[in-house]
Amino acid sequence: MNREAMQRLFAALAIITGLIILPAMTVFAEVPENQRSSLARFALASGEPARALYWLERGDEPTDAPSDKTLLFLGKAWLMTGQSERARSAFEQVSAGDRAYRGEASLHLARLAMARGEPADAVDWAVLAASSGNDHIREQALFLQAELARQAGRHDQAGRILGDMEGGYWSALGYLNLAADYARIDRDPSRALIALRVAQAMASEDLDRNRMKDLSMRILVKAGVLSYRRGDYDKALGFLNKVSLDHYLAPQALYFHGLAHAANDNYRAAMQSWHRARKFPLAFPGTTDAWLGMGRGYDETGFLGQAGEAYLAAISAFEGEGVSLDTLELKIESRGAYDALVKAARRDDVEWFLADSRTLTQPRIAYLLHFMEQPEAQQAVKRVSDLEKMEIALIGREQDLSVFLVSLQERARQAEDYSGPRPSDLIKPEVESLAERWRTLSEAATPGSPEARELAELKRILNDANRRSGNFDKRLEAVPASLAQLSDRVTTAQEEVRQLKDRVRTLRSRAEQSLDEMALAFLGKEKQRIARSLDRTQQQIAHLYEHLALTGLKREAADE
Amino acid sequence: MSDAYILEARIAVRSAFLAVLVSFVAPANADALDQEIDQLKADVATMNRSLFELEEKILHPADTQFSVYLSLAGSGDFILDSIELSLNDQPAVSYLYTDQERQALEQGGVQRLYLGNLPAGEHQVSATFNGQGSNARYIRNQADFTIRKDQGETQVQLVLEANPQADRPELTLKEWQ
Repeated sequence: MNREAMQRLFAALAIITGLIILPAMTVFAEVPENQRSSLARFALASGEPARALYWLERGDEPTDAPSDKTLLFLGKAWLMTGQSERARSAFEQVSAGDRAYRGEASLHLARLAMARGEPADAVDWAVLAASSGNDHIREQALFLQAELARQAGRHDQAGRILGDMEGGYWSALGYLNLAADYARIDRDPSRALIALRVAQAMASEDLDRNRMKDLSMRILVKAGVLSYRRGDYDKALGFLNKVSLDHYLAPQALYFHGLAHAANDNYRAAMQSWHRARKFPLAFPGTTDAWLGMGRGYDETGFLGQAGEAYLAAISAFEGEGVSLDTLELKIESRGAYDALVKAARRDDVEWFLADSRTLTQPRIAYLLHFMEQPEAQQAVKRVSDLEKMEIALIGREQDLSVFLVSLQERARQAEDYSGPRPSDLIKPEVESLAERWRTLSEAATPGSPEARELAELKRILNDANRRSGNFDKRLEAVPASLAQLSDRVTTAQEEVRQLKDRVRTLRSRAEQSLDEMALAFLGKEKQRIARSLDRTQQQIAHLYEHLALTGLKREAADE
Repeated sequence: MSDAYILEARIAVRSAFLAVLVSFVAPANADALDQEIDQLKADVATMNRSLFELEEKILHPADTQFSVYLSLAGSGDFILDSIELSLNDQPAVSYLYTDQERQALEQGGVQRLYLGNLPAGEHQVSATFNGQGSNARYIRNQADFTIRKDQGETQVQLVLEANPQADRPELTLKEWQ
């Protein structure tokens, strides 16, 4: 058996069958029904809801109602694409169906009800989610129930719900929120401190170590501040000593750390803490207080000269900060808050302000970090960021469509200009010649041998090629119409994209204006805060000079 | 402790705070701007869906279309980090997974790893996966397959099976009918 001959035959067949492929076939790949929801699951996890919808909604209209799994994914995709009413309807159907998906659908419904300001409905859905969901769903559902009870002022009920939860992130967050409420409403911080202790224990069971560490820092700072206010200075120091210096709350922790030391008459340690806090930008909570604390610390310990120097340094820092705030304000007015602030941080997602260690050292970005502590600010930035992403994606789509159109027009022109022999006249003799070669090789092959099996496969391909070449001319004639149809669709799509882009730009302009107003109002408040700190420092230094002058006069009087 | 670790932690917690806070502060009826943005998002999603279909028709005619899907099977300790796919010794695609994507695959999700065109005939498909096995052991493994592309669409699925008994996960290939 001539192996080389057979390989040549395979190669020739590949060319022939390759030729029998018409451009722009309009039938597209069919994905098995059972794989669509699996593909949608991955697309949703990749943050591509439109792709998920493509998998779930493609193909012919299904004759049967979609399964609960499909409906759940459809609901999630609709939710991510701003179609909350459709999503709600889908989740409601799922929540009445298969138990396997009921918990997750109910949790979504609870969140939607919360967002609509319907706490009673939210509780009902959260209860259903907790009773029918897996552990992960249950913990989130119980957290929502506890939050709803807490917001309604039913703290004991919130505590009982949290008590039923397992250790981990959601229970820790619930106890932290409860502690914040207790700290606000109780004179005695005991209840708040106990809640924080429990929060800390719960947080330690969070398997996500990064998240656990950050939450622990927040709990420690809160507990430190509360202990200080209660007069438990050593306990406060115990909590604050554990706060990491590279955390956003570090200056606040250092300031209270210094206060606790000062309360224990350990001014040397207090000054060290405040000195470290001064190295952070003034935008961070606790930094301005630490600047003032330094002066007061020297004052209290009788180093009046150093106290004066510290106050003068604080005045200089506060005045410099006022200038920085004016500059930032001007930049926002001229370039817009999104460009001047968000773009400056070189990230476009909502968490941009957290993703760089520069945030802890650069004043301008530090103000942003402080600004973004407000949920309203996060929403405002998210709006602009979403619209910007949409605009970029639409511009990309527009470019793709232009390329497609040129390519389709070129293919159509080639098809129309073709004036050679009919393709079937060229291909048929080739196929016949190959068939003849196949017959020769077949006669030489031993029945049952590997070569015979390969030849059987070749025969199948050859038959397929023969069959396809039969209607080749007819299919080729249909190509120009098919290409023209596709070109029309591309042109229509181009117009749709242009209209959507205009809408995006209009809305973006409004969203940016709203963000600018919010950012300028925030900077206005920050300027007032710095101005107040400046006033206080100037008063302190005036008192100090007055004291020094009086002391000098008294000394002179005594000398005389 | 590295900066990256700390920053990741901040992002994770703030993201959760954001999600929680936003859900609490959102007014009963989102303001007009948010409603308009939601409507726009829906319209863009609808348009994207039809554009995906159009793009597939133009770029990947069914006769030459070749797709590779990926899924996970089994319940080993293996954590998939990335995968590289080559067709006929030419790099076709590489993919780095996020935690959410990995989780989706573990829960039965399927990824369309590659969509392209191949002529009829025999082709080599090579897949190399990287990840972390038990005891944080780094694993890199390659699997080679020969496929026959017939006329019409051809869709194959790579299945990465993490068997707790086996030393390392194995890749198998099956064709969608």
